[in-house]
Amino acid sequence: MGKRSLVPFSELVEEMIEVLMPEAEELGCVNELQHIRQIVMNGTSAEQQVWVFRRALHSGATQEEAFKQVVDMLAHDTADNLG
Amino acid sequence: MPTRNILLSKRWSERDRPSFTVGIEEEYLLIDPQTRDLISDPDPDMFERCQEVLGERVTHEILRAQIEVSTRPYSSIQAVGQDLRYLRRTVIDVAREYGMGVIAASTHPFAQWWEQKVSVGERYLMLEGRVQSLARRMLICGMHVHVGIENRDLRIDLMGQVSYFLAHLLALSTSSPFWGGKDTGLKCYRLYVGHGMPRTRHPELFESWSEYQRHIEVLIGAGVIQSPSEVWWDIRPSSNYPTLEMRVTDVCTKVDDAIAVATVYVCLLRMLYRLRTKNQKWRSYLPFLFGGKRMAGPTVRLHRVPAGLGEAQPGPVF
Repeated sequence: MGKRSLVPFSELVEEMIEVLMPEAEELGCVNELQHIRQIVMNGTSAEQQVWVFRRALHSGATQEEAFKQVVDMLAHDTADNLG
Repeated sequence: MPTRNILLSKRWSERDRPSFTVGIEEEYLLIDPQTRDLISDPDPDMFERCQEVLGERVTHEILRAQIEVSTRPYSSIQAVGQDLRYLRRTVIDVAREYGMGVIAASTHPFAQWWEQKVSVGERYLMLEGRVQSLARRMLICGMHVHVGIENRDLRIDLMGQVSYFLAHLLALSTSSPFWGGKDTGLKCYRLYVGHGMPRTRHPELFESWSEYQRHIEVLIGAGVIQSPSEVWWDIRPSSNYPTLEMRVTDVCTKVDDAIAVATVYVCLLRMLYRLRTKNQKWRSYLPFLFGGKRMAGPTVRLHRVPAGLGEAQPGPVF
Protein backbone atom coordinates (compact mmCIF):
# COMPACT_ATOMS: atom_id res chain seq x y z
CA MET A 1 0.00 0.00 0.00
CA GLY A 2 1.24 3.51 -0.72
CA LYS A 3 2.13 6.31 1.62
CA ARG A 4 -1.47 7.47 2.04
CA SER A 5 -0.21 10.98 2.32
CA LEU A 6 0.52 14.03 0.21
CA VAL A 7 3.94 14.14 -1.39
CA PRO A 8 5.65 16.95 -3.30
CA PHE A 9 4.98 16.83 -7.01
CA SER A 10 8.71 16.91 -7.74
CA GLU A 11 8.99 13.49 -6.09
CA LEU A 12 6.13 12.13 -8.16
CA VAL A 13 7.77 13.43 -11.31
CA GLU A 14 11.00 11.57 -10.54
CA GLU A 15 8.98 8.39 -10.03
CA MET A 16 7.08 8.96 -13.27
CA ILE A 17 10.34 9.33 -15.16
CA GLU A 18 11.71 6.15 -13.63
CA VAL A 19 8.60 4.07 -14.26
CA LEU A 20 8.04 5.33 -17.79
CA MET A 21 11.68 5.25 -18.90
CA PRO A 22 11.47 1.77 -20.52
CA GLU A 23 8.56 2.97 -22.66
CA ALA A 24 10.35 6.20 -23.58
CA GLU A 25 13.48 4.27 -24.54
CA GLU A 26 11.47 2.04 -26.85
CA LEU A 27 9.63 5.00 -28.32
CA GLY A 28 12.83 7.03 -28.68
CA CYS A 29 11.58 9.97 -26.62
CA VAL A 30 13.76 9.94 -23.50
CA ASN A 31 14.56 13.66 -23.76
CA GLU A 32 10.89 14.55 -24.15
CA LEU A 33 10.01 12.50 -21.07
CA GLN A 34 12.81 14.04 -19.02
CA HIS A 35 11.56 17.49 -19.95
CA ILE A 36 8.86 17.14 -17.26
CA ARG A 37 11.69 17.70 -14.77
CA GLN A 38 12.20 21.14 -16.39
CA ILE A 39 8.50 21.89 -16.01
CA VAL A 40 8.77 21.31 -12.28
CA MET A 41 12.00 23.33 -12.01
CA ASN A 42 10.85 26.28 -14.13
CA GLY A 43 7.21 26.16 -13.09
CA THR A 44 4.20 25.63 -15.32
CA SER A 45 2.79 28.51 -17.31
CA ALA A 46 0.33 29.18 -14.47
CA GLU A 47 3.13 29.55 -11.95
CA GLN A 48 5.13 31.78 -14.29
CA GLN A 49 2.09 33.98 -14.96
CA VAL A 50 1.55 34.51 -11.24
CA TRP A 51 5.25 35.28 -10.72
CA VAL A 52 5.25 37.87 -13.52
CA PHE A 53 2.04 39.43 -12.19
CA ARG A 54 3.21 39.68 -8.57
CA ARG A 55 6.68 40.90 -9.52
CA ALA A 56 5.13 43.66 -11.61
CA LEU A 57 2.82 44.73 -8.79
CA HIS A 58 5.75 44.62 -6.38
CA SER A 59 7.70 46.94 -8.69
CA GLY A 60 4.90 49.48 -8.53
CA ALA A 61 2.96 48.57 -11.69
CA THR A 62 -0.80 49.01 -11.71
CA GLN A 63 -2.91 45.87 -11.98
CA GLU A 64 -3.64 46.72 -15.61
CA GLU A 65 0.07 47.07 -16.41
CA ALA A 66 0.83 43.86 -14.55
CA PHE A 67 -1.74 41.93 -16.61
CA LYS A 68 -0.25 43.37 -19.79
CA GLN A 69 3.13 42.02 -18.76
CA VAL A 70 1.55 38.60 -18.24
CA VAL A 71 0.03 38.65 -21.74
CA ASP A 72 3.37 39.74 -23.22
CA MET A 73 5.08 36.82 -21.50
CA LEU A 74 2.41 34.45 -22.82
CA ALA A 75 2.76 35.72 -26.40
CA HIS A 76 6.55 35.42 -26.17
CA ASP A 77 6.53 31.89 -24.76
CA THR A 78 3.83 30.69 -27.18
CA ALA A 79 6.15 31.57 -30.07
CA ASP A 80 9.30 30.28 -28.40
CA ASN A 81 11.34 27.40 -29.85
CA LEU A 82 9.11 26.77 -32.85
CA GLY A 83 12.14 26.03 -35.05
CA MET B 1 -20.78 -9.57 -12.93
CA PRO B 2 -19.96 -12.00 -15.70
CA THR B 3 -18.79 -9.28 -18.05
CA ARG B 4 -16.15 -8.26 -15.54
CA ASN B 5 -14.85 -11.82 -15.28
CA ILE B 6 -14.79 -12.26 -19.00
CA LEU B 7 -12.89 -9.04 -19.54
CA LEU B 8 -10.43 -9.60 -16.74
CA SER B 9 -9.62 -13.06 -17.99
CA LYS B 10 -9.14 -11.87 -21.54
CA ARG B 11 -5.57 -12.18 -22.69
CA TRP B 12 -4.60 -9.55 -25.18
CA SER B 13 -2.67 -10.96 -28.07
CA GLU B 14 -0.15 -9.34 -30.39
CA ARG B 15 -3.03 -8.93 -32.84
CA ASP B 16 -4.64 -6.43 -30.45
CA ARG B 17 -1.46 -4.41 -30.02
CA PRO B 18 -2.36 -0.73 -30.36
CA SER B 19 -0.56 1.45 -32.88
CA PHE B 20 0.00 4.10 -30.14
CA THR B 21 -0.02 6.85 -32.76
CA VAL B 22 -0.08 10.31 -31.23
CA GLY B 23 -2.02 13.37 -32.38
CA ILE B 24 -2.26 16.70 -30.55
CA GLU B 25 -4.98 19.36 -30.67
CA GLU B 26 -4.39 22.82 -29.21
CA GLU B 27 -6.67 25.81 -28.77
CA TYR B 28 -5.28 29.35 -28.79
CA LEU B 29 -6.57 32.85 -28.04
CA LEU B 30 -6.33 35.78 -30.45
CA ILE B 31 -5.26 39.02 -28.85
CA ASP B 32 -4.86 42.68 -29.75
CA PRO B 33 -1.11 43.40 -29.43
CA GLN B 34 -1.84 46.97 -28.28
CA THR B 35 -4.51 46.47 -25.62
CA ARG B 36 -3.55 42.82 -24.96
CA ASP B 37 -7.27 42.10 -24.67
CA LEU B 38 -9.00 39.37 -26.67
CA ILE B 39 -10.23 40.14 -30.15
CA SER B 40 -13.88 39.20 -29.72
CA ASP B 41 -14.73 39.48 -33.41
CA PRO B 42 -11.59 38.87 -35.51
CA ASP B 43 -11.44 39.52 -39.25
CA PRO B 44 -12.79 36.29 -40.84
CA ASP B 45 -10.15 36.62 -43.57
CA MET B 46 -7.52 35.68 -41.01
CA PHE B 47 -9.16 32.30 -40.41
CA GLU B 48 -9.66 31.74 -44.12
CA ARG B 49 -5.98 32.48 -44.75
CA CYS B 50 -5.03 29.92 -42.07
CA GLN B 51 -7.30 27.39 -43.78
CA GLU B 52 -5.69 28.06 -47.16
CA VAL B 53 -2.38 26.95 -45.66
CA LEU B 54 -3.49 24.30 -43.17
CA GLY B 55 -6.77 23.01 -44.61
CA GLU B 56 -8.94 21.14 -42.14
CA ARG B 57 -6.18 21.10 -39.57
CA VAL B 58 -7.33 24.51 -38.36
CA THR B 59 -10.87 24.97 -37.05
CA HIS B 60 -13.08 27.38 -35.16
CA GLU B 61 -13.88 26.85 -31.52
CA ILE B 62 -16.95 27.89 -29.54
CA LEU B 63 -15.90 31.55 -29.35
CA ARG B 64 -14.60 33.69 -32.18
CA ALA B 65 -11.52 34.74 -30.19
CA GLN B 66 -10.38 31.11 -30.25
CA ILE B 67 -8.66 29.05 -32.93
CA GLU B 68 -7.90 25.35 -32.86
CA VAL B 69 -5.21 23.32 -34.62
CA SER B 70 -4.77 19.55 -34.95
CA THR B 71 -1.66 17.63 -35.89
CA ARG B 72 -1.83 14.52 -37.99
CA PRO B 73 -1.33 11.22 -36.14
CA TYR B 74 2.30 10.08 -35.91
CA SER B 75 4.06 7.08 -34.49
CA SER B 76 6.99 9.19 -33.33
CA ILE B 77 6.93 11.91 -30.70
CA GLN B 78 9.50 13.95 -32.62
CA ALA B 79 7.28 13.95 -35.70
CA VAL B 80 4.17 15.06 -33.84
CA GLY B 81 6.26 17.73 -32.10
CA GLN B 82 7.55 19.01 -35.42
CA ASP B 83 4.03 19.19 -36.81
CA LEU B 84 2.77 21.04 -33.72
CA ARG B 85 5.58 23.58 -34.06
CA TYR B 86 4.67 24.10 -37.71
CA LEU B 87 0.98 24.63 -36.85
CA ARG B 88 1.80 27.15 -34.11
CA ARG B 89 4.26 28.99 -36.35
CA THR B 90 1.74 29.21 -39.18
CA VAL B 91 -1.10 30.53 -37.02
CA ILE B 92 1.19 33.08 -35.37
CA ASP B 93 2.57 34.27 -38.74
CA VAL B 94 -0.88 34.64 -40.32
CA ALA B 95 -2.26 36.36 -37.22
CA ARG B 96 0.61 38.86 -37.35
CA GLU B 97 -0.29 39.70 -40.97
CA TYR B 98 -3.73 40.70 -39.69
CA GLY B 99 -2.38 42.66 -36.73
CA MET B 100 -3.22 40.02 -34.13
CA GLY B 101 -1.26 38.14 -31.52
CA VAL B 102 -1.65 34.53 -30.38
CA ILE B 103 -1.37 33.13 -26.88
CA ALA B 104 -1.49 29.51 -25.77
CA ALA B 105 -3.15 29.83 -22.35
CA SER B 106 -6.25 28.16 -21.01
CA THR B 107 -7.73 31.43 -19.78
CA HIS B 108 -7.03 35.02 -20.74
CA PRO B 109 -5.77 36.93 -17.69
CA PHE B 110 -8.31 39.75 -17.77
CA ALA B 111 -10.80 39.37 -20.66
CA GLN B 112 -14.49 39.16 -19.74
CA TRP B 113 -16.49 36.21 -21.07
CA TRP B 114 -19.71 38.18 -21.58
CA GLU B 115 -17.99 40.42 -24.10
CA GLN B 116 -17.20 37.43 -26.35
CA LYS B 117 -19.06 36.32 -29.44
CA VAL B 118 -20.03 32.75 -30.30
CA SER B 119 -18.60 31.39 -33.56
CA VAL B 120 -20.77 31.25 -36.64
CA GLY B 121 -21.78 27.70 -37.51
CA GLU B 122 -24.62 25.30 -36.93
CA ARG B 123 -22.86 23.36 -34.19
CA TYR B 124 -22.06 26.45 -32.14
CA LEU B 125 -25.48 27.99 -32.57
CA MET B 126 -26.99 24.67 -31.54
CA LEU B 127 -24.70 24.55 -28.50
CA GLU B 128 -25.58 28.09 -27.54
CA GLY B 129 -29.28 27.30 -27.96
CA ARG B 130 -29.03 24.15 -25.89
CA VAL B 131 -26.84 25.24 -23.02
CA GLN B 132 -27.43 28.98 -23.34
CA SER B 133 -25.00 31.13 -21.42
CA LEU B 134 -22.93 28.11 -20.39
CA ALA B 135 -21.54 27.97 -23.93
CA ARG B 136 -20.76 31.69 -24.00
CA ARG B 137 -18.90 31.34 -20.73
CA MET B 138 -16.57 28.72 -22.25
CA LEU B 139 -13.72 31.17 -22.63
CA ILE B 140 -11.29 28.36 -22.00
CA CYS B 141 -8.73 26.54 -24.11
CA GLY B 142 -7.37 23.05 -23.73
CA MET B 143 -4.95 20.58 -25.17
CA HIS B 144 -6.27 17.21 -26.29
CA VAL B 145 -3.97 14.27 -27.00
CA HIS B 146 -5.19 11.34 -29.09
CA VAL B 147 -3.44 7.98 -28.85
CA GLY B 148 -4.37 5.20 -31.27
CA ILE B 149 -5.84 2.14 -29.54
CA GLU B 150 -7.63 0.24 -32.26
CA ASN B 151 -9.25 -2.53 -30.20
CA ARG B 152 -12.40 -1.00 -28.76
CA ASP B 153 -12.60 -3.10 -25.59
CA LEU B 154 -8.95 -2.38 -24.88
CA ARG B 155 -9.64 1.35 -25.43
CA ILE B 156 -12.34 1.26 -22.74
CA ASP B 157 -10.18 -0.82 -20.41
CA LEU B 158 -7.20 1.53 -20.70
CA MET B 159 -9.44 4.59 -20.32
CA GLY B 160 -10.47 3.35 -16.90
CA GLN B 161 -6.93 2.59 -15.83
CA VAL B 162 -5.15 5.67 -17.14
CA SER B 163 -7.74 7.98 -15.58
CA TYR B 164 -5.86 7.60 -12.30
CA PHE B 165 -3.10 9.68 -13.90
CA LEU B 166 -5.24 12.53 -15.18
CA ALA B 167 -4.26 14.61 -12.15
CA HIS B 168 -0.56 14.09 -12.93
CA LEU B 169 -1.07 15.19 -16.52
CA LEU B 170 -3.06 18.23 -15.47
CA ALA B 171 -0.42 19.28 -12.94
CA LEU B 172 2.22 19.37 -15.69
CA SER B 173 0.14 21.61 -17.93
CA THR B 174 -1.56 24.29 -15.82
CA SER B 175 -1.94 27.67 -17.56
CA SER B 176 -5.14 29.26 -16.19
CA PRO B 177 -4.48 31.03 -12.88
CA PHE B 178 -6.43 34.20 -13.78
CA TRP B 179 -10.10 34.64 -14.67
CA GLY B 180 -11.71 37.93 -15.65
CA GLY B 181 -8.95 40.04 -14.10
CA LYS B 182 -8.79 38.15 -10.82
CA ASP B 183 -6.05 35.93 -9.39
CA THR B 184 -8.07 32.77 -8.66
CA GLY B 185 -5.42 31.35 -6.32
CA LEU B 186 -5.52 28.19 -8.46
CA LYS B 187 -3.20 27.04 -11.20
CA CYS B 188 -5.98 25.63 -13.32
CA TYR B 189 -9.23 27.55 -13.15
CA ARG B 190 -10.29 26.24 -16.56
CA LEU B 191 -11.70 22.98 -15.24
CA TYR B 192 -14.02 24.84 -12.88
CA VAL B 193 -15.42 26.85 -15.78
CA GLY B 194 -15.72 23.77 -17.99
CA HIS B 195 -17.54 21.82 -15.32
CA GLY B 196 -20.49 24.13 -15.79
CA MET B 197 -21.25 22.00 -18.84
CA PRO B 198 -23.01 18.65 -18.52
CA ARG B 199 -21.19 15.31 -19.05
CA THR B 200 -17.80 16.68 -18.02
CA ARG B 201 -15.28 15.67 -15.30
CA HIS B 202 -13.94 12.21 -14.59
CA PRO B 203 -15.12 9.56 -17.05
CA GLU B 204 -17.65 6.95 -16.09
CA LEU B 205 -16.08 3.52 -15.89
CA PHE B 206 -17.31 0.80 -18.21
CA GLU B 207 -16.59 -2.90 -18.42
CA SER B 208 -16.59 -3.06 -22.19
CA TRP B 209 -17.09 -1.11 -25.39
CA SER B 210 -20.61 -2.50 -25.76
CA GLU B 211 -21.57 -1.24 -22.29
CA TYR B 212 -20.24 2.22 -23.18
CA GLN B 213 -22.02 2.12 -26.52
CA ARG B 214 -25.34 1.13 -24.90
CA HIS B 215 -25.19 4.17 -22.62
CA ILE B 216 -24.39 6.51 -25.50
CA GLU B 217 -27.29 5.05 -27.49
CA VAL B 218 -29.67 5.69 -24.59
CA LEU B 219 -28.64 9.37 -24.47
CA ILE B 220 -28.95 9.74 -28.24
CA GLY B 221 -32.27 7.87 -28.31
CA ALA B 222 -33.66 10.14 -25.60
CA GLY B 223 -32.57 13.20 -27.54
CA VAL B 224 -30.18 14.36 -24.79
CA ILE B 225 -27.21 14.40 -27.15
CA GLN B 226 -26.86 14.07 -30.89
CA SER B 227 -23.49 12.34 -30.97
CA PRO B 228 -20.81 10.97 -28.61
CA SER B 229 -18.84 14.18 -29.26
CA GLU B 230 -21.17 15.88 -26.76
CA VAL B 231 -19.69 13.84 -23.95
CA TRP B 232 -16.89 16.03 -22.58
CA TRP B 233 -15.23 13.87 -19.95
CA ASP B 234 -11.58 14.53 -19.04
CA ILE B 235 -10.79 11.47 -21.13
CA ARG B 236 -13.05 9.74 -23.65
CA PRO B 237 -13.05 7.43 -26.63
CA SER B 238 -12.83 9.76 -29.61
CA SER B 239 -16.03 9.98 -31.62
CA ASN B 240 -14.10 10.37 -34.88
CA TYR B 241 -10.97 8.26 -34.59
CA PRO B 242 -9.94 4.89 -33.07
CA THR B 243 -8.19 6.80 -30.31
CA LEU B 244 -8.36 7.49 -26.60
CA GLU B 245 -8.63 11.25 -26.29
CA MET B 246 -7.12 12.84 -23.17
CA ARG B 247 -8.71 16.24 -22.58
CA VAL B 248 -7.99 17.11 -18.96
CA THR B 249 -4.93 19.24 -19.66
CA ASP B 250 -4.65 22.99 -19.96
CA VAL B 251 -2.99 24.14 -23.17
CA CYS B 252 0.73 24.51 -22.46
CA THR B 253 2.18 27.92 -23.26
CA LYS B 254 5.54 26.44 -24.25
CA VAL B 255 5.49 23.90 -27.06
CA ASP B 256 8.18 21.77 -25.39
CA ASP B 257 5.94 21.38 -22.33
CA ALA B 258 3.05 20.27 -24.55
CA ILE B 259 5.21 17.65 -26.23
CA ALA B 260 6.42 16.39 -22.83
CA VAL B 261 2.85 16.00 -21.58
CA ALA B 262 1.89 14.07 -24.73
CA THR B 263 4.96 11.88 -24.17
CA VAL B 264 3.90 11.05 -20.62
CA TYR B 265 0.41 10.16 -21.80
CA VAL B 266 1.52 7.77 -24.55
CA CYS B 267 4.14 6.20 -22.27
CA LEU B 268 1.50 5.62 -19.58
CA LEU B 269 -0.76 3.87 -22.08
CA ARG B 270 2.10 1.72 -23.35
CA MET B 271 3.01 0.77 -19.80
CA LEU B 272 -0.58 -0.12 -18.93
CA TYR B 273 -0.93 -2.13 -22.12
CA ARG B 274 2.27 -4.01 -21.37
CA LEU B 275 0.93 -4.88 -17.91
CA ARG B 276 -2.37 -5.91 -19.46
CA THR B 277 -0.64 -8.43 -21.70
CA LYS B 278 0.63 -10.01 -18.49
CA ASN B 279 -2.93 -9.97 -17.19
CA GLN B 280 -2.11 -7.24 -14.69
CA LYS B 281 -4.03 -4.04 -14.14
CA TRP B 282 -3.33 -0.74 -12.48
CA ARG B 283 -5.30 -0.87 -9.30
CA SER B 284 -8.36 1.31 -9.48
CA TYR B 285 -9.45 3.81 -6.85
CA LEU B 286 -12.46 5.97 -6.36
CA PRO B 287 -11.79 9.34 -7.99
CA PHE B 288 -12.36 11.27 -4.80
CA LEU B 289 -9.26 9.65 -3.29
CA PHE B 290 -6.87 11.04 -5.84
CA GLY B 291 -9.05 13.99 -6.86
CA GLY B 292 -7.83 15.62 -10.04
CA LYS B 293 -8.88 19.00 -8.75
CA ARG B 294 -6.24 18.89 -6.06
CA MET B 295 -3.72 19.43 -8.84
CA ALA B 296 -5.55 22.53 -9.88
CA GLY B 297 -5.11 23.96 -6.43
CA PRO B 298 -2.54 26.32 -5.03
CA THR B 299 -0.22 23.68 -3.60
CA VAL B 300 1.47 21.22 -5.90
CA ARG B 301 0.86 18.12 -3.89
CA LEU B 302 -0.94 14.94 -4.65
CA HIS B 303 -2.41 12.13 -2.67
CA ARG B 304 0.00 9.30 -2.91
CA VAL B 305 -2.54 6.57 -2.84
CA PRO B 306 -1.64 2.92 -3.09
CA ALA B 307 -1.32 2.13 -6.75
CA GLY B 308 -0.04 -1.41 -6.81
CA LEU B 309 -0.38 -3.76 -9.71
CA GLY B 310 -2.53 -6.18 -7.78
CA GLU B 311 -1.88 -8.11 -4.65
CA ALA B 312 0.49 -10.63 -6.18
CA GLN B 313 3.00 -8.23 -7.57
CA PRO B 314 3.16 -4.81 -5.99
CA GLY B 315 4.61 -2.44 -8.49
CA PRO B 316 6.06 1.01 -8.54
CA VAL B 317 3.94 3.56 -6.79
CA PHE B 318 3.30 7.04 -8.08
